[in-house]
Amino acid sequence: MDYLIIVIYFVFVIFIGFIVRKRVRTSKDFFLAGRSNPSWISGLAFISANMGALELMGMCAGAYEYGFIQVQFYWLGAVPAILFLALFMMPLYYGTKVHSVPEYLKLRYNEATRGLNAVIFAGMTLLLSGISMYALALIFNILLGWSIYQSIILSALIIAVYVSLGGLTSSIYNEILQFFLIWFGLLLLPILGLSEVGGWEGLTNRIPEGFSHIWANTATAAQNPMGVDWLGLVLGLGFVLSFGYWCTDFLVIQRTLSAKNIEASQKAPLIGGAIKLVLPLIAIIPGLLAIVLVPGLGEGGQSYNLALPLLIKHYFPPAMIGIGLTALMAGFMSGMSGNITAFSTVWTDDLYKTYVNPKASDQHLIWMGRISVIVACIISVGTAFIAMSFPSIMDYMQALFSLINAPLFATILLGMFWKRTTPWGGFFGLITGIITGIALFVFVPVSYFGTVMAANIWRAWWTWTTCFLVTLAVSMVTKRKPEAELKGVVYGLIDKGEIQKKLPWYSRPITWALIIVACLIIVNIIFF
Amino acid sequence: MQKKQSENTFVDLKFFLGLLFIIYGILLAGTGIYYSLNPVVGIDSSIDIYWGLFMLAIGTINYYKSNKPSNWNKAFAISGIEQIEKRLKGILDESVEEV
Repeated sequence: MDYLIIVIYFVFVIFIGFIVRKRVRTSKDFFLAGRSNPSWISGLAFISANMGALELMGMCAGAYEYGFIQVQFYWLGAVPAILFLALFMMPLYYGTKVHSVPEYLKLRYNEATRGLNAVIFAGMTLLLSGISMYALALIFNILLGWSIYQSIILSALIIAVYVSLGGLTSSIYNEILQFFLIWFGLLLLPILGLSEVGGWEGLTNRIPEGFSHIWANTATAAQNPMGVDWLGLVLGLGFVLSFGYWCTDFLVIQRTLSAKNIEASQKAPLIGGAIKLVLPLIAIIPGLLAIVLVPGLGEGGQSYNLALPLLIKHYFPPAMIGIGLTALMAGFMSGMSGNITAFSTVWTDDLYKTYVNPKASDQHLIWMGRISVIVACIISVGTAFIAMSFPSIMDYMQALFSLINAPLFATILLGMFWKRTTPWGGFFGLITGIITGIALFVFVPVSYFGTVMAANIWRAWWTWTTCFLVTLAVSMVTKRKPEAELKGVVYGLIDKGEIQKKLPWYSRPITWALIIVACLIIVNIIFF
Repeated sequence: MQKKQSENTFVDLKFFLGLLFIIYGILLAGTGIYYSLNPVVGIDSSIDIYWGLFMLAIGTINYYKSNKPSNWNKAFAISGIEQIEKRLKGILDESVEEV
């Protein structure tokens, strides 16, 4: 029965790819889903593309290892950045009608900055899709006994088929299907678990002391198992890593660019932010429950990453295990297809069309997009084996973000909000930030920072700071772009009246954002 | 009165979501009922039954409210005409400006 449930899911996913294929007329359809999606579709895809390996197994493993403080990756490390993206950055990304973040960098800075970012981003997406593939294979291996190699190849094959057929539209439609499957497959875990352990109070009584607070034990790094104090959390996670990912990573931004108009593109991240507030229910709480119900992980025995699959095995009867497994699989596939579509767009639009074949026709670009999806899936099989060599998926991902997204955030922040930033200031700031990150990663041992997580957080802070300062310094001595060229590209030079139609107060992005902020404050007080 | 169609056009997600949940709901509830009639030690089939029925209900609602495949081609054609109209309007506007 479990196999049947998985097979049905695969059939659906591929079927959607075939249906959508007939609807792809232009490269805009393939890479940007025709810019026709309502806010709820873009919003669910926005959050679903991020609900890959990190969200499910990684966060659950983190909660098992560090306690409820892991929720900071949502409430501090995602929601504020998502609100900032929606209110201040989307008018620029969407308003400039760019296909990708590297294309925005070309508009704001120069071709060199776009090229640098496109190459690095393309490499990062392949490394990240390998993580999802490895995590998926791990699940198959543990719960169904399949070999890791077979599982990796099967998942790559399925994603290659449906993404190459329907491009971003197919990817987005499947991501939304996957979003609902994830919720329906995993929601029972906290319900059953909390009722078994005696609710939240019963749970907090049975987990180690300090594991149930998010701020109370952060006065010093030594007070909490994550090994990071409140300042490190706020600067490293809450500011650099979080804003670096949510405001610059094309994987998520691409989903918002598929919205049908600027209001929808702003509401899409807001919908995602609201979902992030409640996502700990299926991603963090199961990790805490696993401490009680599946004890002994990580003590020289099985990996923390197994907390979620083992909990599924603990609770679910036959058939329901199939649904739980399908939910996990859906998460990994949405994470992976997100990376693959982002890679395909950046490769085709920012690299191939710019440097290899500038005269390519629209139909040729669709063809190239399809080929690049297949190639990306093949390369991801290789990067899955790199992911296997890291002890924790979460640490591996955060290490990548600290090297690549953190400096990019400084480049985009200065570019969007300070018109004095110059093209070469942006380029040299970005490259110096990345080199600093790599140097810190290679030459400064983790023991210097305390824990792997602390190393990632502080590395992100220093790479951002370096990029920020170098961009400032170089901008002071190099030639700036004329103001006319920056119209619509820099925040101070956009015509807000033109893009922000008069909406009723309850429908304005700012109203939605304020409601989310109020909820955020409430949950922080409750779980302080 | 005309039924309110879901917002997206030529491929309706609610249709897929509804269909998938109906199938899963039937499979889950069916398995649960089978195990409740043929009990096996250590298997709590009630979870399958109530969660299966829940998924079935959600699936049925979505399926009912969805835009069916028979309408997709029509919607696709309309969207194509709209695109052509938009393109023609652009050309017309440019010509007017030039004049």
